[in-house]
Amino acid sequence: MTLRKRGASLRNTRLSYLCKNRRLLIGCAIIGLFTISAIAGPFIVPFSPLKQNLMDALAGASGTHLLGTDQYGRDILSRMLWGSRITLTIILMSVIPSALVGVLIGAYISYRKGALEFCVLRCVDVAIAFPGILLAMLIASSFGKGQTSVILSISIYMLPGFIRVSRGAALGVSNLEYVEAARALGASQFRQITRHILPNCLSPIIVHTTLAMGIAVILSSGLSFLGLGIQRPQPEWGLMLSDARQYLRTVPRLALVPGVAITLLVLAFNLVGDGVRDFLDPRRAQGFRNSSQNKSVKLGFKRAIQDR
Amino acid sequence: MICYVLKRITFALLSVFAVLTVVFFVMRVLPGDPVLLIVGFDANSTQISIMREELGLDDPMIVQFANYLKGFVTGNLGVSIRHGTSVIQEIAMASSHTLALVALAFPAIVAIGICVGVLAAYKQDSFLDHSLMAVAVVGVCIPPYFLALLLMLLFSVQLRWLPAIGAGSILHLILPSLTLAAISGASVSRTTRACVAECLNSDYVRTALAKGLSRNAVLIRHALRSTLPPIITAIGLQVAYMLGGAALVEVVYAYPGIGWLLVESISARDFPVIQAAVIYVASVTILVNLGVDFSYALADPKIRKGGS
Repeated sequence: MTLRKRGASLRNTRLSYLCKNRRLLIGCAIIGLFTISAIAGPFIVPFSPLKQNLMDALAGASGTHLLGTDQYGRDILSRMLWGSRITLTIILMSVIPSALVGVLIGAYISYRKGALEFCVLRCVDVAIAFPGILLAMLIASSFGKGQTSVILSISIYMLPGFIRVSRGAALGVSNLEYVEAARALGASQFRQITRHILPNCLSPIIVHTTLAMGIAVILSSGLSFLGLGIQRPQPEWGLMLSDARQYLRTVPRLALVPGVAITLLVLAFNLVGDGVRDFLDPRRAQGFRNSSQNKSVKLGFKRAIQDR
Repeated sequence: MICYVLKRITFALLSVFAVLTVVFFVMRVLPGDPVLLIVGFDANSTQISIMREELGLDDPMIVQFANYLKGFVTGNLGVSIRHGTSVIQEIAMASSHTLALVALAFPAIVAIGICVGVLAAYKQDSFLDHSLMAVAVVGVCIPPYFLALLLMLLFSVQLRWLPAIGAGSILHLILPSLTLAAISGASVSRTTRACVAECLNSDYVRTALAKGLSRNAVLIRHALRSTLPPIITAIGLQVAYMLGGAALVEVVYAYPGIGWLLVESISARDFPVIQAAVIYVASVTILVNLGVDFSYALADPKIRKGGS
């Protein structure tokens, strides 16, 4: 077999493995659907998510209103689709910056070692002992209600987890010879970290980021549910759920639609996280899971489990 | 071992102190003047300045901080702005409610989590395994407030078996603790399944089977024993999460636990109560983590002897 052929067949195995990875596919499909409705929202929603029409209040499912209307006669389907826009915006604007900063700090301290590493890790330990929703509530109430404070509180809350996971992942790499070689060739610290260390320890970080997005969905909707996040009349899922409580007896549909939407999105992020982990670390799929990278991911999860 | 215990305890105390400090300074940057809340918004400036002096808000920051620490040591945490009752009383009341919830949910979590996880691992890759784990994934992904509403819809609205909200009788405890048990149990069962499955695939289990031990003996004596530490961690995290007042669940059921108290006092800007409740929750979390670390050491001879 020529080298090129072997390369192609390797790619094919990877591709077919990817296709067989049903969890990853289903998760990506769900996230894709929500993303489409978030981007195309303004063009595809049949009704305005904010416009009230009291004549039509609490109407059942019909041809015009596929999922019926809420207590102010607003179309539930439109509000649900529009809600994905709000939630996904919050997720992207909180988790991604938090991940970038956290990963840089984590990689840097694992590279520098010494007192700095010790101090940062102890701070991370304290921050992780702080229950997540509490921290988010405190930050949200101190920065006032609204989207900005939700984004801020989620990103601050996520930061220690990212530092811990990326530090653990970079630990095994930053001592390797090729990093030393890069240093000997005169590469700057920044270059060593971003070009040589980080690309080789990305898999646990990617997995952690995906799972963190799932947690962020629960947290941001939860804050709005408690009245500390997005405010009325915005069609935020947690807020819709909170308003639906009054009508639980008469119109349970009001609660089911946003609730199922939140659950589906969180489920999708979890499926993708699990799928990516299997894909990036095939050993795990076969039952061996004791690489040091996975340990660091587990440590990161410690927090994830704690804060739902 | 003694060295390990001392180290852990010192670190826990330091963490509590760090939490105290963080809460103190966060409270000082919170918008909204607590003095105005106490004396009323139509008070004149002399009344305000008298109150400020009484509360010690004119002292330098460091003096205020010292007084605040002294208050914690002597158990004088001030009075609730809303009710005029002592903060200690409010916290004790709310935490006793939360404790009742945890006492009911904890056995269920251990039973569900370990039984389901071990069963799924034992029947690895069977239909039973897949369906149990599918349920567990949904359990992990469903937001607690949504599950709470669903259970309320089923048991209080449709079947009319249980009261929907409030506290007082044992019946009021069932729905909130069921919600907590379902969510935490799902999470524990996932951890248990992963660890036991990994262990059952290992060489020493194969050796034990090859030398003629029965599958049950191997499962109980070899597999369960060695996978105990991660399972204890998972359970400990869940307990910490619940003791911290699963705020979202308690709010849905209007159950007057610590999480509910916190949400209520945040929306009423009842600063002394917020402060004390946050510190209480964080300390409980730190304490539970300490307990988990110790039981880890008991279950894992490597930590016990290594002293690290």
